[in-house]
Amino acid sequence: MSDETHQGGDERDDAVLAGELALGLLSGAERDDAEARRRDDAAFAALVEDWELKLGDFVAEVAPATPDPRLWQGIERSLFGQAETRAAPAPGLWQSLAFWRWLSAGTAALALVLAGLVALLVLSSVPPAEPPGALIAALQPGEAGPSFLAHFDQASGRLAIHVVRADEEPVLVPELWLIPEDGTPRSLGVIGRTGDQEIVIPEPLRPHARRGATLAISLEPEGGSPTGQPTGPVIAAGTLDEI
Amino acid sequence: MPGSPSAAPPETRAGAGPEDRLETLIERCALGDRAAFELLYRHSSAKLFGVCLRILGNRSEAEEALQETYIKIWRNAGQYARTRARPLSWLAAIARNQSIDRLRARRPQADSVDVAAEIAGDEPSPEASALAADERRRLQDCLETLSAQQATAIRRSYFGDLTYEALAAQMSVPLGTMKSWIRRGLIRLKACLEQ
Repeated sequence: MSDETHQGGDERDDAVLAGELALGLLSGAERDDAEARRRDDAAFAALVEDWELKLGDFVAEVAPATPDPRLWQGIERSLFGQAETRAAPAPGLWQSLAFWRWLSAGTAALALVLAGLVALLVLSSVPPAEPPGALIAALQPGEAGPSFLAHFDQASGRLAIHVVRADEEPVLVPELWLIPEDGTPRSLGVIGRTGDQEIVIPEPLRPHARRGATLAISLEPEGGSPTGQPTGPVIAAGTLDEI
Repeated sequence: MPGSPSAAPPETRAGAGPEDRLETLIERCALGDRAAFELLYRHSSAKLFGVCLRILGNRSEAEEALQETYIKIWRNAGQYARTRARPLSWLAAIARNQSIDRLRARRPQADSVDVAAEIAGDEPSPEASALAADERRRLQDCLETLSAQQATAIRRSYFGDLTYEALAAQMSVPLGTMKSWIRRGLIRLKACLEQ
């Protein structure tokens, strides 16, 4: 089939072709070719995505409708397994923190901030987008209390801490610990209660900041632990893993 | 009817704005915050379900598509920031893609005009028009710069995943005319959207 004479083929630049693909106008070999270009040609793929997002504004013309209320549970189940095990600690990791076990008794009063821990970050399903050398840990307490996300760049030694959710316990300050395989916590210093922050892990400690090491946050008196070891409750912990 | 379209509740625009809130929620999803994910579902699922329903035309399939949509949203939340898109447009694009995948799987290989004919009306629904006053986008403004036929063709294609052939048959114009309408329409639309 030859091109229509109205609007010769050269009229159609990549942006138009991308729009046609995004709208689903193409068929047969033409569609196959365009799909292949989308796979192989990043610039073209970006044009298609650009159209998809622009056309996403059509959503304004759609009348909202209420799905079956059970649908949410279905989504949770397929993503997280059996629904609502949120606060359950990951036992393996917890045991590897035998060191911290003394906490279990004393922290009932601080149940507000203490909860389970989650080892792996959600991003596990995302293909590795970062160069090797970046490690990440999600330090999650569960229902209440602050959540932290830590990102460690092995090359520069920079550890970025993002406070996902702050809590309201004003007396004590959070202190960050690195616990390598030998189980002895090394203080990385006191961190702020909110906002993003970045610390540089001292050179001698960097070899310890490896995959599998634990990052934990305990609550300490103003100024940090007086003993050099954690004295307060652990409010969040997680293992460093590859992104 | 108690509420006229122009009486859209002002609180939808109040405060930081619903879009800002959705944006924050998506970003939190990227960090693994399940509570944020649940909120995101609560605040966006009706709209996205509307998209799935409009494209697929039946509830049970639309619900399956919606479920897949949110699974994808959770998994891809980390990619949102890169697109710099409006949150609802990003979410809607995922919902459409999931719905279109289902539509194509259901459809026989050759695009039949019969299937095309099932597609719902191509004008915004009355309810949606009321919302559009508040949610009105650049896209809608730019569509108005096209001819009515161009806008209709593009809109039908978006919601119906119609090929040129199906669209030409549905609107009873020669294939070449349809291609010409749409290609010119896309060029103008793009220029307008990028102003």
